[in-house]
Amino acid sequence: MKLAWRRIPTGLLGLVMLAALYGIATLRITRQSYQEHSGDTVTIRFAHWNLETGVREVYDELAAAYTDLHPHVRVEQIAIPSRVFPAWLRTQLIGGTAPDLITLGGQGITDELIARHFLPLSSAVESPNPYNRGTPLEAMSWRDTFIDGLTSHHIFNERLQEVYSIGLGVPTFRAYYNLDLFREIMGHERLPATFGELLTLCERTAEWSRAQRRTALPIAASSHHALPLLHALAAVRTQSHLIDQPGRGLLMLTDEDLMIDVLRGRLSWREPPLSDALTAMQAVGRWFPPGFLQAQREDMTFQFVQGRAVMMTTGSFDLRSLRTQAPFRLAVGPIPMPDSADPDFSRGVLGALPEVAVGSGRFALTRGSRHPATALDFLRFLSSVENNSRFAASSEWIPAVVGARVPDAVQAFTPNPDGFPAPLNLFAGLGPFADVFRTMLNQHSDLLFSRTRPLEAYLDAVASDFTPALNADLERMARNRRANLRRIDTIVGILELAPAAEWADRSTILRQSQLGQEISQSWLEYHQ
Amino acid sequence: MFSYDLPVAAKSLALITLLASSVAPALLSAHLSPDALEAVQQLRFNDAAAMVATEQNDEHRLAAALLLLSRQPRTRTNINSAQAALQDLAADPNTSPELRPWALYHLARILHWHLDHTPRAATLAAYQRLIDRYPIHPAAQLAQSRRLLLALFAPAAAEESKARLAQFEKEAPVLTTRDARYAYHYVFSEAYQRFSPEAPELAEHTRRALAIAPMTPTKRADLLIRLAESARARGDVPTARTSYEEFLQSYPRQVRRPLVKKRLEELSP
Repeated sequence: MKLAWRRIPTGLLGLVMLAALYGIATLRITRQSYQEHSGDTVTIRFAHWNLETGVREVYDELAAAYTDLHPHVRVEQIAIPSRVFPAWLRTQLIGGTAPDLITLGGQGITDELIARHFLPLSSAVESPNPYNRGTPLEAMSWRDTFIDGLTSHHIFNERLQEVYSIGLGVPTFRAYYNLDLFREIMGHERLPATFGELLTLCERTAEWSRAQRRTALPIAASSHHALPLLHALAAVRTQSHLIDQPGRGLLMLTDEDLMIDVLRGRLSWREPPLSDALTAMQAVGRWFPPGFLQAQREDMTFQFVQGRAVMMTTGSFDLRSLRTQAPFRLAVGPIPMPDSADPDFSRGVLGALPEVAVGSGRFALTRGSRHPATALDFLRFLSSVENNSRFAASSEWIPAVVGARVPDAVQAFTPNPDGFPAPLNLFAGLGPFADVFRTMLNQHSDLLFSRTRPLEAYLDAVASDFTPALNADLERMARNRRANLRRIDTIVGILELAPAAEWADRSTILRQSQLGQEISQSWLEYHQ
Repeated sequence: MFSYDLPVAAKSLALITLLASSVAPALLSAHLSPDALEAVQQLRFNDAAAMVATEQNDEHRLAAALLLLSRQPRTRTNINSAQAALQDLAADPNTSPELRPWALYHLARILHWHLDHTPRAATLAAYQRLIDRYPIHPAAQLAQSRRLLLALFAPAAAEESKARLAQFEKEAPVLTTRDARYAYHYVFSEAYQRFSPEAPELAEHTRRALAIAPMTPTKRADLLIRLAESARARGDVPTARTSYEEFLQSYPRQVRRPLVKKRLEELSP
């Protein structure tokens, strides 16, 4: 017997195995296709890039729970690594094979791609979410059950005037401390509660590092870690500008409003509130490691985990991995910010900044979905207060739905929705004022964050580059806005010809949005 | 075709049927197809252009001209072609009287936004031509707000900008459509806020724009706050309080709530 099978040619054996594998694969695909196209079963697929522990597991649980409620519906999860997600997304959309629900985000997501491939949800969100029946959110519109009212810029597309996605999580930022190193340096474990105490911690850490001849960064920071902090520091010191200046009479100002006032000479970086913004940034930024803006996120996380930094600031999304990797006791607390009681940095401050931007777990409904009503229903199911709580419990994300339970492990990250907004967002990252941002941070950060040079030295260096950068940004903004106005002109002009009443409301909304943009553009051109 | 033996009613019915059968196809295809409208909504302008090219009635000709302005790639040739097509529509005596004003409106829009560096006077003149010729048509009514926008936001010294506000307040344009009334008052509200925020007309135009009920998600919130802020600045505490409170009641998730609450606290005796 032994000898018999040895006589079988290996090539034939290989062919038989190949045929068997082919048969199995064909059977699986055929069965899946049968199930999908079977008249009795509806299959909904949703795709995302969140491979973090706990997220995929809870998505599977919720999918199963949905099927328990709706036995004729199968829900399949597709998890794609974030690095390849944008390319995968575009391929799926163009190829017509996209899942019913997809996380909307990443590079290359244009308005054309959104409008062509995704269904607007603005009408759907005005009705209550039936999965909130029996809860305090029962009568609320689906929109108002979200902590941001679906107004975050990731959720509501200002140019297309539509809600295109529903989000499940609110990323918030906190200070993470190496408590062991903290105790070594400070002699106690009372985390900094005020801005002054934070600066004291930074000074003591630098002194201790010199005295002990040990590497101990006050704050481990790359641009990923630093920009949200720098933005917050700058923003909080410009808050009172919203109520002190009439501006547009809206208790709201944009970076465009501020930059136009700089252009008009009504605001200056050498005077409050803008100089106050810079001094707050400088006070903390001088403790960042040299070259932090070019450092990689992973490098700085590594520095912290290796015990070479006493603190870092990052989002709730890093908690689980830091908890797993850090060999020391990890403490988390609010990032101490200037407040109205601060002896040196109180001017302009009204209070904590709001934390309401829904940015995680955003799902959009594809036009190619064969079961859009069911997919939308699944989205409602996912974002009910009960299921958002369940999702948060497993993923340790901060829930996006009002009243959803924040897990104990991330209580420190509970967002503050009632903070005072601020006008200055320039340092949140690259936006319409990319050139100004680059000039002020990338080109002259060594002076801004110097421990020895005064702010004046930085402002003198920036002065000659700032105005050309500002003009370049304003011209680019004007061009982009004109392009959007032209596009809307065509759309409303044609919708005007549509006989059906269904287009009348849409036409009015677009016209009103268009008028607002025309006024903004006219105001910009008034100053150019 | 007709037999003298048939009753008159039957002959009439036959004649009507004959006429209807020749007119019906034109009626049925007069409007843009739902597919074309969807394509436009999805920014698929090139696809929509191909769809509207199948018909040659006035509506399709107008749509084709508008699509020339946005189809890719955007070229000066396409803009020129759009202008020519709209001019033909405007000049053609057979063009539907409903659509001819729209052709003039979009010719003005081309000067306003689709061409760069158009002299302001030329655009103003184009809007004025439409208004003079068809003062009550919806297109002309929309043109009123655009003409106002161009005039009020023309670069000028502060005092001249203020004076223009007073000048245009004296006009009494025909405004019967909701869109046109909202646009007119909204432009005035924005202009007063920028050039003469202390003027009582700011509150009046803001109130009127609010009453017409803006439909964009944040626009009503903005106008409520502006009404409140202008009332507060004038010392009209009851109006300010009412508007702030209405904002808080209507917008449970608006990020400006803490600022509005702070304003209300300051207004409390």
